[in-house]
Amino acid sequence: MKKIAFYGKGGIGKSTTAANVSAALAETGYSVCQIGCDPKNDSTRLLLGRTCTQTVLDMVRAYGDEVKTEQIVHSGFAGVKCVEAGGPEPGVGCAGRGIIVALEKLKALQAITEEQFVLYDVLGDVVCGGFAVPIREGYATDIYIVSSGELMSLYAANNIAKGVARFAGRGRVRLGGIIGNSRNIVNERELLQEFAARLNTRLIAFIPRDRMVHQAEINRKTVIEWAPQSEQAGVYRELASLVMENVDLSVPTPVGFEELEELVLQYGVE
Amino acid sequence: MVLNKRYMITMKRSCSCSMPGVWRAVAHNEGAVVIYHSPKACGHVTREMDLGGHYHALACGTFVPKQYTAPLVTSNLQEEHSIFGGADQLRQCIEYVIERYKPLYIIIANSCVAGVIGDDTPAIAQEAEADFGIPVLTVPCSGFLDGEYHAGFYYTAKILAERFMQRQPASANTVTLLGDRGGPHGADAKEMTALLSSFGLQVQGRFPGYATLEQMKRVPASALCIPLGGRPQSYDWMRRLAVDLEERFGIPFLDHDFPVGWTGTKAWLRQLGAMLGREQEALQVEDEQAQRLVAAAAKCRCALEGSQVVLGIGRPLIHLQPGWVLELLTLAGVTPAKILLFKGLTGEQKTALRQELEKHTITPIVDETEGEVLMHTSDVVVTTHELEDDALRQFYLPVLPPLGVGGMIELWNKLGQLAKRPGGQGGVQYGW
Repeated sequence: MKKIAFYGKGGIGKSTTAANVSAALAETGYSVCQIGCDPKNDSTRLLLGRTCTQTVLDMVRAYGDEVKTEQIVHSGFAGVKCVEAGGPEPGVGCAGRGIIVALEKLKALQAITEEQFVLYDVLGDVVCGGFAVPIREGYATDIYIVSSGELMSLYAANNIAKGVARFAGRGRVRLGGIIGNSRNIVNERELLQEFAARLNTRLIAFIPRDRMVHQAEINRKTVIEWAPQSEQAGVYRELASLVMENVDLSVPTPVGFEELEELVLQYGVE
Repeated sequence: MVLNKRYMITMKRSCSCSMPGVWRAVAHNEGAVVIYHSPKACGHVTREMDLGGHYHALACGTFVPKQYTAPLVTSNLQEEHSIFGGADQLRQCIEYVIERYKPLYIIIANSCVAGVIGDDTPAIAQEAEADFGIPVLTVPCSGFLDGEYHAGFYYTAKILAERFMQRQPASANTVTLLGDRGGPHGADAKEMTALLSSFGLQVQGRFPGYATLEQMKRVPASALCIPLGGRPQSYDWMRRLAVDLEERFGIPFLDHDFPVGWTGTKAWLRQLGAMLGREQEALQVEDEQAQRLVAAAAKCRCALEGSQVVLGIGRPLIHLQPGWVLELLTLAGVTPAKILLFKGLTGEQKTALRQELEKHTITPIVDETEGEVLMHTSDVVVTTHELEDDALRQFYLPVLPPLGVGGMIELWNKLGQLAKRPGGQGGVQYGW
């Protein structure tokens, strides 16, 4: 089993990337499970064609210890198993605690045991201990950071690298690379390559900005399903293949904020 | 070897939960109900406190059969509430409390869980107040997170004052006692009342505890507030309350903790006399107290004559100011053969204790291991901890110092009784 986690700044395209990678792996015949670790429950929307309403935490709340695997594991595109951790409404409770409980429940139920790939799609930054659980507790070993060339996206990516570096010392977790999700910033690919190098990793893929992604998304589908012959689908398939075969994992070396600013300035001047 | 726990406290602040302090502040205020917005288990410390207080009152003969005790209800936070928030749970709890107890007011204390997840307790309290028409107050502390026992006590008092009190003309010669110290029926209250009455002052009430709503509303009419702390840590909070009341309602306060030991009692009397402009009366009261003291000390001196006494200390300075203990022994004609510092103290705590002890005595101060033989051959061990050897005559020092000369006399009487136990009978005599 290959256990992968996607991290990155909020709104950068983690869920879209994860869902397309899951879809690409599944259409090749691999058994795949995608676990959304975000109280918004929208990680698996493109795979399920709807927003998942039966999240782990909702079901645990309703059924307690009686909750069954089939209540929380849903089948999506090409048989991808879809799980949403769930969590509180905005402004109440503790979403981080929710992630801990949801992942513990999945483990206790042995709900995900036979899949060849498990993808964790984790909310935004490593904001608290709860969102570090996929890294910390050995759930995921290969971490990918989705980032554009925008300063704040790189800043979040650098913070996530700090989290990975912290936990790498006591487990198998490593950074698999940076996935560039283009925002059409000037010299974006080169900037991301240099950023990745400074983090002791590499830019594993650069996903160009394409209207197709938006079209697929508003139709509640992955690009793989919506436009399987499109170039963008090819980009995601290539990414899936790289992720699948990647053995070049590293312990990241985060940079300081000033260095990051200089880097963005260096590549950003038009 | 000492039997009970090792003190692990190295910080200046105490490591305690603010919630029991909240409950304690209104524990005997008629019509009050306390809600802990917490897991059920958080209630156990308070339950122990309540039970301990009950047995203590029975033992001291100060038990008041029909005294009101504020019900404590927890909102029973569980795992799911730590994720989804406990607001609904708290609302249900408030509804239950109102239906079941029909309280005059409700005080809500937040637990660590509520604090960590950030439940908006004040908003829920405000809604409940609008819905049910009774005051629902929240204390801005969250268990161990940002508070301690005394903080819970203080903030409860502060919100009660803000909500229920209004500035009013002072009634001459009336006093409000700030703090707890066993309530109005305890020995300390009697001693304090007697001391104040020597100046023509009358205790009109206590705050925040042991007060009905009506009594609470009359606090601003006091001519004077007297804070009752007992230790620097608790006094700081009670002084803070006194400052608040002075700023808000113009009630002056005696800026001195309650009288501890003879030196402390004299200082307290003189400061009170100076504040009231009755210095001569203060000296007169001091003479009266001195006569009480001398008579009682003579009895104890007689009982302890020829006895070898060892003093064993296992409480750090934050919990024990040794000055009053040494003074108590000196006045009873006792010079400890040695002072033993128990093993549970850290090196830092021992150094601080040595420095403080050396200000008061030239008695050798040694580690427990060095003085163990002496301890087992002594007639009386005055100790802060129960010792394993039950053949020893142990005088267990109270956690809080006694109030005034009356408190000293009580300790001397007990010490005398211990020394006069027939034959080689050992055992523990508790100093409270």
